[in-house]
Amino acid sequence: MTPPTRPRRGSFEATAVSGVRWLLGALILVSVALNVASVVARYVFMSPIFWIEPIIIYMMIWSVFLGAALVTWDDRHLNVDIVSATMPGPVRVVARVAAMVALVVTAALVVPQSWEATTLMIRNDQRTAVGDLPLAVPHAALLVGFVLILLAGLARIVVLVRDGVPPAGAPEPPAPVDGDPAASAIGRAAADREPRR
Amino acid sequence: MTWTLVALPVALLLLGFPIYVTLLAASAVTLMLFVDVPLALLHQTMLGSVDSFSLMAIPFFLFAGELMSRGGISLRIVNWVLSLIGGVRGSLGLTTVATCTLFGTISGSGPATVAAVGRLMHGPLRDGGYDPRFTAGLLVTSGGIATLIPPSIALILYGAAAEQAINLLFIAAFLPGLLLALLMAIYVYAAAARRGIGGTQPFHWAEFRRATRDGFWALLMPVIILGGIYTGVFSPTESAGIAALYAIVVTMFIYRMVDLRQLWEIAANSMYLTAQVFIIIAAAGVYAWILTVSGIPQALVAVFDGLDMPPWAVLLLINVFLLVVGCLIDPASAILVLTPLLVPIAKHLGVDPIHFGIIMAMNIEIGLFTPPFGVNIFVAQATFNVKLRDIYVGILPFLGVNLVALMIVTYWPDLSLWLVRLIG
Repeated sequence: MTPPTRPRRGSFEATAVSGVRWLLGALILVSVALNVASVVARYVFMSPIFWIEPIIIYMMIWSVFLGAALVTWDDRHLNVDIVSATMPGPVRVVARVAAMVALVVTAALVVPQSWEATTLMIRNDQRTAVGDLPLAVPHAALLVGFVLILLAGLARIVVLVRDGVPPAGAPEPPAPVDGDPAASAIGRAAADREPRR
Repeated sequence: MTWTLVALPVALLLLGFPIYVTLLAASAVTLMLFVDVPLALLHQTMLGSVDSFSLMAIPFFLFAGELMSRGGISLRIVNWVLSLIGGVRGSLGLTTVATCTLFGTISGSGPATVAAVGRLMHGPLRDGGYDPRFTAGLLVTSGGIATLIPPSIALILYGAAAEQAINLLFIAAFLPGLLLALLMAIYVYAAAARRGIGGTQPFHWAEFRRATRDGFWALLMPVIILGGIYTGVFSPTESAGIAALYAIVVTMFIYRMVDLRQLWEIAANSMYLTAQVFIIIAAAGVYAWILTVSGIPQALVAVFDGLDMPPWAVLLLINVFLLVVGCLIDPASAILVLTPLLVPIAKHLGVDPIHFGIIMAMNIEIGLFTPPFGVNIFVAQATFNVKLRDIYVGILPFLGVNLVALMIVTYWPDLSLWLVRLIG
């Protein structure tokens, strides 16, 4: 599985993808720092910082839905390919396009709900009991995330229709299951060695 | 409604649809056709499913595990274990099992452990007289120990899905994890004896002291993570955060094997993987909610009641089912989708949900290396360049050992619950 297009260096797509990746790295590093700060404040200064927990959760929610858009762009969502891997080429293309259409349709269903929930939170200025943080922030993560998923899914459909999918014989990289960075890195390396259409 | 909640997702999964899309599509169709609830439920429930501080332990452990894998920590653990048991028959095989167990107390991921420890041990095992099949089988299955031994990502997901305390699950998994490692070690020792494979180096205090000094910071890591959780000083998420910071300090400033650019890359990769799993958690939350209100778990309980089977037979049936599912579907999805269905049955049988979590994690652990589709197999194939046939054959005896351990854990609840009662 490859990105829908190999974005030209300096192009808008390349900048957006690397920008989101940079942001994901930054969000987890800041989360780690805040988490440790919370423990230190509680045990060293005997003064727990209550607002840290919701802040970390907010950052993770944003990371998850921005990351999911990136995963859609790369076409690397986890799936079960036992049957689809044995399909003949044209059938595989149809199945993959159908999967992407379903992804776009589900995203299109979620976006208006997320818009409604986010604007409601903003209108009512609803805030968390701990830390007085605006509740619109986590709700907006779904809105932005699913809009980006929708756009990435549409881009993916265009590429699938134009270029098809790799032949059935070409091994797909092992899915990075059970949260396994090493496996995914290996999978990417293995995939890079395979000839592509 | 059953076709939209069961037949439709199965069909979409088989067609290769992304798992999260499958769950979300099945839920949306059910909502629109059968349940009088606004579609706003999709947004609210997805947000609610990932809005959990306990789940934040997963990205932190992933991040820490990958840092340790790349930052020289696994190498130092291998050297330390070898300096301790190098004189014992089959020491290289035993070192593999012990290192995977120790690495598991840090990483929580089976495939990550196979990749990290396998890279270091594959060559020495082959040079030490182990045939390719035994070597591949040992590495692929030993990595599975990390899926069970705390801190386990599988148990965090189960805890979130079954609404059980994650620290209690970690306590409960400790002895079953050690039992599995012990049984694997006994088999490795017997296999080495049969092949006439001896030790590598006799024990010397000086060498042991050197390896301990060199690996001190790496060996301190499990003590900090598990000590913090078991003594109640940290929550699992806080412990994961501390582990991540500790890994940054050790790999960047003490071992100096990771620079700032690599740190950022590892951090971004960890979040990317988190997103792959958490988007499924979000969609599975919606699916589980609809399953519950549709009464399917209760109907399943009634079906099992109607079968009039003794509890041990139902547990056996569940084990077989989970083993099959575990080698077809990735662990996170299997746990998130099946927990709401199976926990009510387990409770109805009088099985403690904490004990049932350990049974589920163990089944998933076995599924990770069960042919033909276990993920550990493909990780090993990509890492060691071994023939798939050799891996399949090599796994079989270790699969037997794991099944024995699974039966013991399933039918001896005190093994899981004794420590929970003692310190939980």
